[in-house]
Amino acid sequence: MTTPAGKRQELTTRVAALENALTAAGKVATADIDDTVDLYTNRLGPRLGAAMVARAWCDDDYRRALLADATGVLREEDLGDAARGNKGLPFLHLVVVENTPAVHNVVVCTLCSCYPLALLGAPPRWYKSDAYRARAVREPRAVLAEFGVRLEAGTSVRVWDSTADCRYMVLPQRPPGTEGLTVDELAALVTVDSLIGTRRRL
Amino acid sequence: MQSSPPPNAAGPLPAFQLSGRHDIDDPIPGIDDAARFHEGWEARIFALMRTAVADGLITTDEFRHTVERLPAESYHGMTYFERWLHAVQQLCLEKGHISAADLAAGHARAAAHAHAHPSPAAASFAPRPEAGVQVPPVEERFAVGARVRLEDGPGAHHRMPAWARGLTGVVTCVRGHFPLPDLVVDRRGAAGMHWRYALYSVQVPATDAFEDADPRDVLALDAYDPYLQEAAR
Repeated sequence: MTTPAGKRQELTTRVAALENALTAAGKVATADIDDTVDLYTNRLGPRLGAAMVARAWCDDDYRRALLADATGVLREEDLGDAARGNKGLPFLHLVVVENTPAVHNVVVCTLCSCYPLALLGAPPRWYKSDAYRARAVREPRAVLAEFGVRLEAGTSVRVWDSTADCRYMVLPQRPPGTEGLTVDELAALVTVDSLIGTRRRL
Repeated sequence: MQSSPPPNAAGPLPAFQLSGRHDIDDPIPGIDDAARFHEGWEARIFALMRTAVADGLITTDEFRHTVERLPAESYHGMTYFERWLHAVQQLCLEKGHISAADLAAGHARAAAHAHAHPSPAAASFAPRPEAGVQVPPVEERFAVGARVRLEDGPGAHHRMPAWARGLTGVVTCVRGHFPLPDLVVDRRGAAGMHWRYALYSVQVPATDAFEDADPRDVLALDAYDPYLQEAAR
């Protein structure tokens, strides 16, 4: 997944040229771009969503609030370091959809690559691929099979195409046999694929 | 609002409308690839785009629309983040944030490995205030349970995916009130950023969209009020 050295040098220079032009014109600050790189690579990530999932497994009031109005819940969450300088967070409209024995949820953006960036950071490469965008609505069960998901007989698949302002996160089912675990231990079980819906069992 | 173009209008689908494509059948790439950026420039253009949006230089809809305007051969000839670089640069030039001469100067400095100097940028940590802007009240034409026909939006940049065009679905909830992407890219002042439209979650049986789909499955999307027409029961 790397570009040839010559092409890489050209793209690196073009990005730097654009950044130089915008900073020289006083339109953006290099420090803001540096901070944004740090935000999306170090401070945001699936662990923030995983913590919300683990809490929902342990606290039914929180779970119901999350399913009814995840945006409202998110506005009250203390995201600590991840909230500092997070200019996208106040604009994030989050919808949480819950997996049950009868329903499996999968999230896609067929038009571009919409994803709850301001919470989960940048999306995985496969999420942005032409193949996922084309196939997730057309043949979700075949796509899920490639990820190793085996659905129980009678389970329906619900595909959420992120076509507008809302960003989606899946609330996976709590794994059996985890009754004794703490919230932090539970959160450690939650993977990014399970938050997008390309993994069912944790 | 002007009348919408007819759904499933003749003509080839634009390159970004991938969901109706039966010819894209590759395996999902990079399932086990945890890296979000594979080269430094990818992280840099990603952060530059997010910063430009946060500072109000460009909107996400303008950015998407610029990617969507790429001809198919360019769209498919570029990697994901190359499209981002193209769109941010194109949009900053079109909107007059920088000139071609600025870009050439930036290129000369980049080629010489000179570092850009930080300069102050406007902070915007909250949704923009709407004080003083006259906007019409938001109309919710449809209630939960309404049967609706899904059509293309009224503008050049609408958010109706190919798989859903012309289908009938059921409104399952009202997501809230948001600017219409079709108008945001028109840059016509208040009508673009400040007029709000109801956004609905609509569900369609998967077999209505794809014949071979599993009859248990459901496809859902979010669609703005102007994209919907009342459907017969």
